[in-house]
Amino acid sequence: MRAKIAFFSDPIDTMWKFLYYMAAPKNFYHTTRAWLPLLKYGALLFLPIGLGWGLFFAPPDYQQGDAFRIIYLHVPSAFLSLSLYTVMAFLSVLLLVWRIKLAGLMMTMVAQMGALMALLALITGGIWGKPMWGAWWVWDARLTSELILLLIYLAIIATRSAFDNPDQGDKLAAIMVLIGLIDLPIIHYSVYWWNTLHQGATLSVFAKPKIAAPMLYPLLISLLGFALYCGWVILYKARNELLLRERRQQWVRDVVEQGLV
Amino acid sequence: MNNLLSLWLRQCQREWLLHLRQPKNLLYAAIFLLMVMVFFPLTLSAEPRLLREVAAGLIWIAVLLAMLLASERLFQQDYEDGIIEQWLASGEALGLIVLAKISLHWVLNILPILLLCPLFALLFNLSAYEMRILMLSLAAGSPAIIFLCALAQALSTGIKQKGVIAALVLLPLAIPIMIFGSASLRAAMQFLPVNGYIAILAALSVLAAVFLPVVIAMIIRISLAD
Amino acid sequence: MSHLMMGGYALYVWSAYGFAAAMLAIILVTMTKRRKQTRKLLQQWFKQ
Repeated sequence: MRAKIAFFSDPIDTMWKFLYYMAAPKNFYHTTRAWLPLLKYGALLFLPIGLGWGLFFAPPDYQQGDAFRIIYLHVPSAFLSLSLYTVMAFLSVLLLVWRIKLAGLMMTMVAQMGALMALLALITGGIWGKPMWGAWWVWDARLTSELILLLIYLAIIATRSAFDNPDQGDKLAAIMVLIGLIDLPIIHYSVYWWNTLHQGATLSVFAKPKIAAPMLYPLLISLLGFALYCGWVILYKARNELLLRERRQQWVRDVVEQGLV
Repeated sequence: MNNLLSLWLRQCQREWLLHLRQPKNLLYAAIFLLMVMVFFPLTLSAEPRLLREVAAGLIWIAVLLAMLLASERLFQQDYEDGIIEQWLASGEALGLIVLAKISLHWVLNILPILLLCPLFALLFNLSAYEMRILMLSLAAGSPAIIFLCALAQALSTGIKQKGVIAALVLLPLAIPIMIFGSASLRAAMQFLPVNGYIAILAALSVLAAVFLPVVIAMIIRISLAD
Repeated sequence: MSHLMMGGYALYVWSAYGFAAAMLAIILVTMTKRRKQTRKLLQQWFKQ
């Protein structure tokens, strides 16, 4: 019985050990150095492939013609704006409960990227809507929800930047993230409900069509490309900020002198 | 348990006295509300039909902004007087203190707003029934708004651009309350049932009252850690 | 050519992709610039 429990706890143990190891700034910095090229080249590979395939080789849509190709920008960015929020929520918990300061720093970077993804989703959504519905903006449930998500991101970023003390700012922004997390489903539900009052039975232009395989694959590839890109940027910026925050430490001095910046 | 109860009563009494000694502040929010409501017909149109159409949204927006302004006093004075530091040092249940403060603030601030509702009904051509529903929905939804305002104020105590940050934090979070609050009045105008909306507003208020004081206490602790 | 014209939707498709490309590029430029600034800053800081 004991052997069985030990077998299951080993991978969990190593995971925790890894987490605590990585929570130390110096270890994090040196370990992630190798990750950067993976993310970078992954993004530079998959983004052009996915978007190029979607732009030129996927068959045009029956209803929307070639305009539907905007989906290869809109869906990945919208999806990432949401999933980055959950990443932020996870990092918030790491910061507030386990007091891992590095998590707070990363959360700030994730917030910036998440906001940009939400912005991209909104703009591509608007551009997509113009030929389809004749207006640059419609108070569609999904677009409105995305707009509110952007506003929440901006509120989090504003909260963080209002404080000069980074530790304080990170913690308060983390609380904002968690409050936003609880409020998001409520907001989502209320916006969708509000929208039914106005749209009635009209189908949203952004309702997910039954997407055929030749259209789906480039979507997945560009989604992967975007995700790798976001990971790359977040890691890059986080490492940069880490050097600045920890500049009083000896390991930073070593890094600078060895030219590893 | 006795301790908590006496703490609660003491804090309520303190807030009551504080408010009574500065009665003007209660009026300011109401006057602001009145001014904003007058602005709308001036900038939109005085046509009664249009005013009835937009009344629901406008009233709720104005109430939200008025409460945001009124809540600036929630923590600022005590922060400047060093009272908050004493709370932290005393080791008493900060969440309860915060709850007492906000509850009393709500009771005293919602009254002028509710008293103004007949005037709003007059300005925007609302019927007596619609006015009653408006008052009911405001009473049900305003606690949630006030707790969110307190959250926003706690986050922005002691930083430079208080007002803007507080507004940025408050507005997205308050969206559900605004949606259901204004929807209740519009439903009343169409003689549709409003029970569901009132129930949702009340539920949101209860949720806010239960969870936010603890969060606000956490924020105060972090804000004053230095 | 038909690919560039995007079935008449060229303006929309290309402006969307153009905005996305610009945004992604600007992010990269700013992050590398900041990195260089950081390097200079730290080098100066440690010389003292």
